[in-house]
Amino acid sequence: MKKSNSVGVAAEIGSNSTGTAKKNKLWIEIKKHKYIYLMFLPIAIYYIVFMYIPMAGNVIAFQDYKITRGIFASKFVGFKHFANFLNDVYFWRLLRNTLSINVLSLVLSFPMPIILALLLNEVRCKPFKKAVQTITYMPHFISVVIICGIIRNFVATDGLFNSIITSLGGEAIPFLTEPKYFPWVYVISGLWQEIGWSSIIYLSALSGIDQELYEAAAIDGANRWKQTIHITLPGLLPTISILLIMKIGSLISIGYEKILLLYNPAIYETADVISTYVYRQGILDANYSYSGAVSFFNSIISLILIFSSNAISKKVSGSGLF
Amino acid sequence: MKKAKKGIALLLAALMLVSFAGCGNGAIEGSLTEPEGEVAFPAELSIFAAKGASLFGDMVDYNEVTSFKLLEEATGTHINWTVPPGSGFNEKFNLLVAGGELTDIIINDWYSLGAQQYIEDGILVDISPYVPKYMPNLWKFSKENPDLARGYILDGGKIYTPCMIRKDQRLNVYFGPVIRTDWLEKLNLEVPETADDLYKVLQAFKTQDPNGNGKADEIPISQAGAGQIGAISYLLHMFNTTNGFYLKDGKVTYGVLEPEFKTGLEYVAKLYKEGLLDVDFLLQDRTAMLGKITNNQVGFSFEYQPTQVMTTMKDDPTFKFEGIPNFKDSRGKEFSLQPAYTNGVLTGKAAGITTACADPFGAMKWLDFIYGEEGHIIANFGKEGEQFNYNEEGTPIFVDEIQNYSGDLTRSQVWGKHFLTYNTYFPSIQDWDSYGAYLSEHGRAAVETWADGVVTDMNLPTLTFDDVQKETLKTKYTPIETYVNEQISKMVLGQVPVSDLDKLVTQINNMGMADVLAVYQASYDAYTTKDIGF
Repeated sequence: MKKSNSVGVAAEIGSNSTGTAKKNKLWIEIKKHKYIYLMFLPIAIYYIVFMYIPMAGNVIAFQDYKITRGIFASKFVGFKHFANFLNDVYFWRLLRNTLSINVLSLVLSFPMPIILALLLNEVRCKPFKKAVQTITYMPHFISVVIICGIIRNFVATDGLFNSIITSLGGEAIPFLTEPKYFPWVYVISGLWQEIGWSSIIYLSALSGIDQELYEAAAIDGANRWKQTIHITLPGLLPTISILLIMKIGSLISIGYEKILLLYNPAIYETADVISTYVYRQGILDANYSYSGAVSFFNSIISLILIFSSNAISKKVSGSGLF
Repeated sequence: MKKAKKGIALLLAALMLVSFAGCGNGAIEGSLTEPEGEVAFPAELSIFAAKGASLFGDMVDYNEVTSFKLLEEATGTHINWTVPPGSGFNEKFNLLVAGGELTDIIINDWYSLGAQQYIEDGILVDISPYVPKYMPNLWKFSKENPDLARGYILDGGKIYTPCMIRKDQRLNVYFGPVIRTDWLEKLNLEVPETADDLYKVLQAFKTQDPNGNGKADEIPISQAGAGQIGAISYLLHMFNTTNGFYLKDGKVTYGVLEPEFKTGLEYVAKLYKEGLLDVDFLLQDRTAMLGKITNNQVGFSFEYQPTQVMTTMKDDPTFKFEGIPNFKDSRGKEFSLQPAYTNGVLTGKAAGITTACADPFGAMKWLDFIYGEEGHIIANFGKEGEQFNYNEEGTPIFVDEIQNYSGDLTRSQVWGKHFLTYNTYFPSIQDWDSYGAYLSEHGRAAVETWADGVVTDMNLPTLTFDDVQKETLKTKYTPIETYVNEQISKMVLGQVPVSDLDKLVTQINNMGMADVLAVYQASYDAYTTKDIGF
C-alpha cells in the first residue's frame, strides 16, 4: 500500500518535472535562437492578422450579411447560400469548366517552366541566357487587361494567327466564338505569360545542387543527358513536388478577370466558371454572403485536395509539403 | 506546450474581439430638429464621391473644377472632398458605412442600394419632410416636372437623395444609328428608313466597294460587343423588341417570349451569315471598332454621337459618319428601345446627407443652391465674362477659348475641367445649351436627328427591387439570362438554328420565368402607382 503510494507520488513528481523540463526546453530553444525567432515574428503576426483572424469572417456565409449591420447583427440563414449554389442548374457545368481549365493548365503549364529552367541551365552563353530570361519574364508584369487586349487582337478573325492560317491556305478559326477552342486559348496564353516567371524558382533550386556531384558523374563517364536525369532532376524533385501539391490545391479556384475579359455568351459552355458566374450574379447587389459561401465551399475542396495530394506525394516520393 | 497553445488561442480570441468591435455602428436614428430662424450656408462640408473623368492629369479633387470654385465663391462653403478612384469606390464606401468616419454627404447609387435601409441603419438622415421648405428649388422643379420627379421621388412623396436630372431629351439620346453618308451618296442610295432598307444598303456596301480601294474589305455593320450581347439588341429594336425586359401593351414582357423576337433574330442571323455583320462584333472592344471605322472599313453602326470619330477624321473632308433617324417600326414610327433615351434621372450618383453632418439644413441649402437659377448657371456655364457671355436672346454662349479650344487637352477634358454638369454627374440639372456646345457640329446634328420624333413608349423606367425580389432575380434570373444569352449568340453565329427559340422558351419557363416576370411587373406597378405627393 505504502509502496504503491510512494510510486504514485514518484510518478507524479516525475511527470511534473518532465513538464517543466519540456517548457524550459522550449524556452531555452527560443532564447538560444532568439534572433531567428525575432525574424519569424513579423511573418507570424502577418499570418495571424491577415489570414487567421479574417477566417472568422467566414461566418457571413451562413448569414444574410448586411454591411451596415455588421457580422453580429446580420440574420443567420444557415446553409441557404450553399444550397442555392449547389442547386443551381449550372452548378455542374461551372464545376466541370473550372476543373477542366485548371487540369489542362496543370498538365501543360506545370512541366514547361521546369523544362525551360533545365534548358536555361545548360546554356553557357551568358548574354543569351539573360536575354531569354528577360523576354520570358516580361509578360508577367503586364496588366491582365492589356494581356487580354493583346490576346483578343491576335486571335481575332483578321488577327495575327488567322492571317497566318489564311495566308497558308487554311480557313480562319473562330478562336473565341467556338466553345471548343476557349480552354486552349486560355491555357496557352497563360503559359506564355507565366512560363518565365515560374521558372525562376527552379533556376534557384538548380543553383543549389552540389557541383561536385556533376564532376563525380563526369568522371564516371555520364554525359550531360545522364547528368540531367540522375543529378539535376532528383535535385529538383522536392521543389517540384511542393509546387505541384500547391497547384493541385488551387485546382478549384480560378481568377475571374482574365476569363471575364476574354469570354462572351456564345462560349459560356466551356468558358463560364464558378467565379465569373458568381460575378454576374453579384451585379444585382452586393452578395457578400453568397460569394462568401462559394469561396468557403472552394476552400474546403481545396483543403481536401491539398491533403490528399500531399499524402500521395509522401507515399510515392517520400517528400511532401508537411 | 499546452499552456502556450492555450495562450495563443486566447490571444487570437482577444484579437478577434478587438477587430470586430470596430465594426459596430453606434449611430442613433431619429428625425431632425428644425432650426430656428434663417438657415445659412455651412462654412465647410465634407463630400465623398467617386473620382470621375473630370479629374485628369494631376487634378486632386473637384475643387479644381471651375464650377465648384465658383460655388465656393457664391455660397462661402468650402468643400473637403474624398474622391476614391472608381475602381476602389465600392470598397471605400463599404468601409465608410461599416464604421468609418462618415462624411457630411455621400454621393452614391442610393436608389439601387435602398436609401430607406440606410436611414433605418442610421447612416443617412431622412430629409424628405424638409425638402419642400428647405430645398425650394428642387421642390419647385419637381412639381413642375412630375414625370421626371417620379424617377427620384419614392412612394409617399419621399425624396431621400437628390440627383442629376436631364430634362432636355437631347441629353439622353447620345446613342443611335450612324452611317457613312458619303458612301450612300457615292452609291446613289437613299438614307435607310426600315430594316429592309438597311439590308439593301448593307448589301450594296458589301459588294460595290464604296471605299474604292479595289478590295471587298468593307464591314457593312460593326459593333463593339466586348464580350456582351448588347449589340444584338440594337438591331432587334427595329422589330419592337430587345433582349431584355420591356413594356408591351402596358405589361412587362421579356424579349424571347414575344413572336417579334424571332423575326428580329432571323434578320440578325441573316446579316451575320451573309457577312454583313462584323464577324468580331461579339468580341471586339470599342477601340478596335473605332480603328476599323477610321480605317474606312465600316459602313454602319449603332454608336455614340460621332464627335470623337469626326474629330479623328477631321483631315479627311470626304469622310462623313453621320447620325440618321431611328428606324421605323411596324407602326411606321421612328422607334427605339434604348433605355438611355428615357433615362432623364441619373439616380446612380445621388447625394445622401449622413447622420454625421452637423448642419443637415445647411447641407440641404447648399445642394439646393445648384438647382436654383444662380447655381444652375454656375454648374452649366461657369461665370459670365469668364467662361461665357449672354447673347441677345439671353442664351449663355461660351467664350472663344472654350468653344473653339485648340490646345493640348481634349474637348471632353476642357468641359470636365470647367463644368459641374459635364462628367461629374453631381446632383444638378443639366442644360442642353452647355452640353450641346460641347458636341461637334456632326455630334449635335446626330443627337438632334435621333431625338426628333423618336417614340420610346416601350421603355421601362429604372426599377428598384426589395430584398425578396432581388433574391428571386438572383437565383432564378441569373441562370435564365445565362441560358438565353448563350443560346441567342449561338443562333446569330449560326451554331444553333433560330427555330430552336421555341425550345428555349419552354426551357426558360421551366426555369421559373413566370416568377421573374412577376417580380418585374410588381416593381413596375409600384413605380406607376406610387404616391409622389402631388
